Amino acid sequence: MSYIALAINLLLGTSALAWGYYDGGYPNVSSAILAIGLFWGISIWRRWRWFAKIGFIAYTLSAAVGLWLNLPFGWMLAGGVGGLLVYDLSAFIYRLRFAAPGEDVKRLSLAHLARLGLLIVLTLIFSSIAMLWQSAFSFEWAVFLGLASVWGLSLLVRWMLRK
Amino acid sequence: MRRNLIPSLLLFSLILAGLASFQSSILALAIPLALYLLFGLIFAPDKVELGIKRVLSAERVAPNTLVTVTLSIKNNGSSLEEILLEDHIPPALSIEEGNLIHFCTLAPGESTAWTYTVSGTRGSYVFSDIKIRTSDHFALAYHQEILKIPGQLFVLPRVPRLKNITIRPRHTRVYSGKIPARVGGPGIDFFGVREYQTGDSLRWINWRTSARHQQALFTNEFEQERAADVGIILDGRELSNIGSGGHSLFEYSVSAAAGLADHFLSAGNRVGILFYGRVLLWNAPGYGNIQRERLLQALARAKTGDSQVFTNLENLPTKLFPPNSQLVLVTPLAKGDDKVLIQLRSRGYQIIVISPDPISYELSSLPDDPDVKLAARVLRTERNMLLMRLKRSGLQVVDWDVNIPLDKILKSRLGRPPAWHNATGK
Repeated sequence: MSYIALAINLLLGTSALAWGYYDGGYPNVSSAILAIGLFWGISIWRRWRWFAKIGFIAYTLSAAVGLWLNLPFGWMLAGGVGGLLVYDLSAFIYRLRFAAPGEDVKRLSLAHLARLGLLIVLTLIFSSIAMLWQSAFSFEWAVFLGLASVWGLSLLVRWMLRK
Repeated sequence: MRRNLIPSLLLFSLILAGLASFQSSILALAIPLALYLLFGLIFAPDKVELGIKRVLSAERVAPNTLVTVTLSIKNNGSSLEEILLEDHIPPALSIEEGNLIHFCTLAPGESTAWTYTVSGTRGSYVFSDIKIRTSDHFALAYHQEILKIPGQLFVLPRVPRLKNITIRPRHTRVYSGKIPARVGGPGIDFFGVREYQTGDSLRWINWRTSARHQQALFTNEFEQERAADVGIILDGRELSNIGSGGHSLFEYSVSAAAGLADHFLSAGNRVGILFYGRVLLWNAPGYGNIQRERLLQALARAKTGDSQVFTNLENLPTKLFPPNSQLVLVTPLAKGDDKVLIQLRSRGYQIIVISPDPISYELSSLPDDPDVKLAARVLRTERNMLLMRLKRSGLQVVDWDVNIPLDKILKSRLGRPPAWHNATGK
């Protein structure tokens, strides 16, 4: 179940990013993304866990650059979310190897996929709200968000240190 | 590296990039990452309250026997979304089946169990720590602790069944046993004739002798059979024990000591073992099955080692052994050992030396080379001279080629008391 979800996410994320770039007139970048996607697939098959981090960073940055180049938001978001999900699922599948086959694997996979499903739904809702709100994005909002993110960063650092 | 580090860095990079470029779509791209991290924060695990039990299918086994370890876990606290349990086993044990790591989820009050199978060579193995790592489903926030769940596995040495060892110590104990005690009384073997005393059985009257005397009756006396004190000394010095191809001559010595202890205890004797190696380990003499178990566990722990003090046998603590008792040394013998052993003999100890032959043992793993043959010949001559000196001093010496079963060797060498023993009675 988790393997299927992983494969679907990798396929959708890679296709979305590649199509977004191809459609926007960047066929070389599109090919590079396809190559990264293919290599990511091979790395999952060969259990090269280190590549998940690289793939995740590459997909997120590709999506961000695509948005900076004014490529369609939908494709870029799908690519970014796909990268995040593949990163998460590849680590989960590694942990799942130590679960007792049968009931435990099924329960853990279902719970994990349900949590990911919730993440996707919330992402879609919040992203839609954010895109509707896009027209009102002004300098004051940027300053507010900047301060908010500094505060958020300090909270996160404190949390990480405590843990 | 923490799993939340990369998502956090990317999140803030996107926010900064979005703010710097005035592009809300880049900020919107940060939403999934923010939600992902938020989930980790919200569903971070609480305090872990687990009840863990480790059960071994057997706690004392023969070498390389499979032992199944079962770990039962019960969650006595709140729900745990993901638990990664890792059992730590001694490095010398090898895993034959299953996994030391277990991954599961536990609702409050729920329990689970997992098993794995291990095997190992002779030794005493202590199980202790279990690492527990609980986390949310995304493994972003985790709680880790190490619980001490004690357990012990003894891989005991192989115990060969030895049948034919005759010992005649000068000193025996008061309890009945199987060793002729050189004292007249009830027994089987004829010992002598003495004047009849009130209470003697009429069946014991020696009529032939009585007929030669007037007004006097004589009765037969038999040799009493009693238990004795037997001290086994196991030589664990590195210099006298050699290893090759992952095996060691010491393993044969340990096995022989186990067989001897088993034999002497079965005969009702009081047996103690002194391990003479890096340190001195003394197991006080005792009788019966409890002592057998104690000695086997001590032998399971025995390891060779070097020590400045115990390089030769001069510091052998002979006061541990009762005077005139039986000593059995299991040692490959090293240069200079003969002097100490001869001194011991002169103090009245009856000594049997069982010496696993290091030359033939090492030769079996060396190439068939003229130089090797010459070296072996020189060493063989030296060893033969050493053994000869010991034999001439009244020690019973068994030169044991470890390729031959010990029982077979002992039958021919120790099956009956030596001729000089019967002649001199010493």
